[in-house]
Amino acid sequence: MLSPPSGFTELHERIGYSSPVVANGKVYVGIADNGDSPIQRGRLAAVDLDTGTLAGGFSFNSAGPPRGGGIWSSPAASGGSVFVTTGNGCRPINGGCSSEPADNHALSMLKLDGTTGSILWKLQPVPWSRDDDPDWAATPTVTDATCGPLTVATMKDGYTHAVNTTTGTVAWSFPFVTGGLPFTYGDHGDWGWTRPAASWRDVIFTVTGGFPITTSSPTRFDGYNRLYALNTCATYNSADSGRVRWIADIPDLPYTGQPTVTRGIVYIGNNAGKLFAIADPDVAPPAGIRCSNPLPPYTSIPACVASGFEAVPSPKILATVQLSGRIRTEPVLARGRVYVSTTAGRLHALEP
Amino acid sequence: MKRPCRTLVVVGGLLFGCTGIVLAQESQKPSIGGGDPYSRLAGRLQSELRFVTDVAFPGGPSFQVKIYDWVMGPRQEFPEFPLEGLATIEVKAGEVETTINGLTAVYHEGQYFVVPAGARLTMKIRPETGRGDNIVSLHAVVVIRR
Repeated sequence: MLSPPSGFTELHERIGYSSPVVANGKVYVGIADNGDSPIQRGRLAAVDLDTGTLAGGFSFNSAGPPRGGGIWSSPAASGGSVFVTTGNGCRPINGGCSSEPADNHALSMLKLDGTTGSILWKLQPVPWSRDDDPDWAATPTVTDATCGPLTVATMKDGYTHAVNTTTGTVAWSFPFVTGGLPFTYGDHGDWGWTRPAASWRDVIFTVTGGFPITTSSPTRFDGYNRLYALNTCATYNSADSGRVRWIADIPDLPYTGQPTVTRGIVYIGNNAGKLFAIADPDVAPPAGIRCSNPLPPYTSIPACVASGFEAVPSPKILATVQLSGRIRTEPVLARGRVYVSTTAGRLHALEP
Repeated sequence: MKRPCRTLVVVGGLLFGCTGIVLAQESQKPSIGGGDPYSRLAGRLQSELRFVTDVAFPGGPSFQVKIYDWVMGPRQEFPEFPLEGLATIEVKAGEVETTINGLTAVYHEGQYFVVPAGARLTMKIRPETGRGDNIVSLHAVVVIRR
């Protein structure tokens, strides 16, 4: 690999995976890098909607100088604020940082003032010392649950975190984090849980690690092929009682699996080009019952319950539709149709 | 005897004879966190020696066991990755392309591969990985015959 000449700084910022969001008279978009080689200084750009020029008075950098915290994901906007998640920080091997950069907001979910970019709150679950590249790549989901406004996102390490949108306090993490955040234990790597959650009533739908994420490989990655429904308002407790609402087995989800939901029916696509429609048990009877921990020792319900887990439904899969290529993006719902794009370069419109 | 000697030459990066290597190794005290053979790769590879122990079987062979955590930087290639002995390597995160004695394979998180003592190991972090974004985390158990 060629290095830039002495005195030069290598810049290759890009708008990679961040779709723009329009709010507050501005267009917001995240800026990251190309493959952490070296990692760039993440930032959120705000463009004036009328003039197309950078909005004066708005500034947000994820870290540093020098580097770190690329914003790979799309921002979310709500009530005059903007919500972002940030990627990994500058480390010795990806940017030459032998110590934590100043103002390090890498690996964080943040609520920003939509006018100035100033930080209103920040959750940084994985500290710099434990940064093994678990970028926070999923766009935050901002939801008004009956238990209060929450901002939820799943991190690449397979943990899902929910923050009170108003106060910035952690409402819950799934699975439960002993001692609270930030983590003081465990590995936190680039394990591919990258997609945003969907929200309906008091339910969060997300491809997440589940209980197996606390084990070691290969069982650690059990959640790759499962869609979880989590009860948004279950009390945060060390046994995670009440958190898992149901689990659906969906094959070929690694590094994809972005659900969308309407009226209790969840749509999700996989790497094999299949679109699944799944019914929450509130709208269609479930197909069966299973353990909230999918690992084999807990398959039987008595063993499951005796081990402190819970019996939860397997939801009914209403339809499985084979499409033209891998489905890496979120299905879009409009006027009774589902629109899905695939890596074969086709856009499909489906009707029930 | 030939194979272990060659392995040790590669690890140390030294052109000693076989006897000299044994003596040099015997005089080395295992230390955690410093003095490992990977320091010359700093900036491309983060290496942490987590654990070292000696294992001896009465009347049988004796071994030294080392446990490493390695994090490899983006787009790095290690044509002759230094190994001190038989290595069992777990990919903790990311995706790595390996060539072991000419046989190429790709491994990702949760998978293991074994490198025989004395084998030539090439590891490469491809620019466009199928999983991860070019940083690879490895956990290695290395068994060194004494």
